[in-house]
Amino acid sequence: MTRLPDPDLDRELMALADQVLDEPRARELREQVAADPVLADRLAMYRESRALLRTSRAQLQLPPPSPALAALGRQLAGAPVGRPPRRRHWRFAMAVAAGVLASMALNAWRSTLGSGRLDPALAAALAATPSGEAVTLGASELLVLGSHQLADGRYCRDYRLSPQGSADAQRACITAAGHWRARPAPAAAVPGEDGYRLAGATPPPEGRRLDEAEEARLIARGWRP
Amino acid sequence: MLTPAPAAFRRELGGLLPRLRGFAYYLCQDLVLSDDLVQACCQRALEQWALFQPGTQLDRWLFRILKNLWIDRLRATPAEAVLEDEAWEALPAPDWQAAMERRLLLDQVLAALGRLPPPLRLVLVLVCVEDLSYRETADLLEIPIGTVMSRLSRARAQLLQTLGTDHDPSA
Repeated sequence: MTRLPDPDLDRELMALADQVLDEPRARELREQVAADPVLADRLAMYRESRALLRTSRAQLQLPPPSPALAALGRQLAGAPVGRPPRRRHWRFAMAVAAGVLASMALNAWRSTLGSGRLDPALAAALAATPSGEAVTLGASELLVLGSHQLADGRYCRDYRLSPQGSADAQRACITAAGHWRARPAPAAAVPGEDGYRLAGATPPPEGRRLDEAEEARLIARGWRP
Repeated sequence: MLTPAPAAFRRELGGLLPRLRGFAYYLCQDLVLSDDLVQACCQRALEQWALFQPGTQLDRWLFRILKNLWIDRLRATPAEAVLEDEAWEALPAPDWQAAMERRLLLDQVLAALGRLPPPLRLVLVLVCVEDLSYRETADLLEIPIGTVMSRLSRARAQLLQTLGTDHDPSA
């Protein structure tokens, strides 16, 4: 086995490779390295690892962000939320504007935990908002993450209310009678697991994710099959 | 009631999204998860913006949030969580030795990164990809700078070992 430089010297070599070792120690060490193949190899290892990571990072071209993240990015940039405003935003904005104070909306949202039925304003907004878009609901923001169809045919939508709601994704499914009811989302199903997972990208195991076109058709006809 | 984050904060946060995506992707090598992490990070930043100290660097603050979210995820994923800091020596031997083609570099580096135990990976990405200093990394992770350096050293040696290059002193 080849010997390793002693730990203190080894750290200095790494700092030299990372160009954070002060002169004159850096110069001394370079001279030492020139005379010692073991040190030279170790220095090369540090330099090469950094170079590999930097080069790979320069090559990295990520695909466009998830719809939900893209919507968030547009919003942060000060652009209109989601795509340019459409009439439906006004439609449910009017529906929810009447008397929806932040605390009321939050209390209503909380009350859904007992009965399972969503607050009407939340349900209306949830039914009308495409995935990846966010709308203002009182003082909260509703961000719709995705839509799914369960094996039994029911439709479900994942969303998040912030900042007043839970940081976790919520899920609601529409009943045959046309009511949106809260349903355990992955985060709630297994406490502690998936705490920060947004469910938009992950269909429930017993269902399938709806694509944009299917979702648009369902929004247009009020989620009736 | 929470006060919404000021416009300047939101804009700066928005401008950092590409960087956060890259950071998250290097940590987890999973596009879906990394976008989820970035989104959760932004949500938390928007909720907790008042805790950010003006005059300090927002990217570092966000890295810290994102790192915490990632660690939470790892804790919920036993397969990775069992990889203790010291366990890397027990990892399987490198399974590719062929000369690297340049176009494969990124994939190979990411795959090799993915085999590093999370504590080593985190230090390596912060220093060698995001260009934080040892001191900044130590502050961000709340560990001594000596620990940063020893983890960094081991991370680099192991990365190259996995990539099959010839710098492994025990080879």
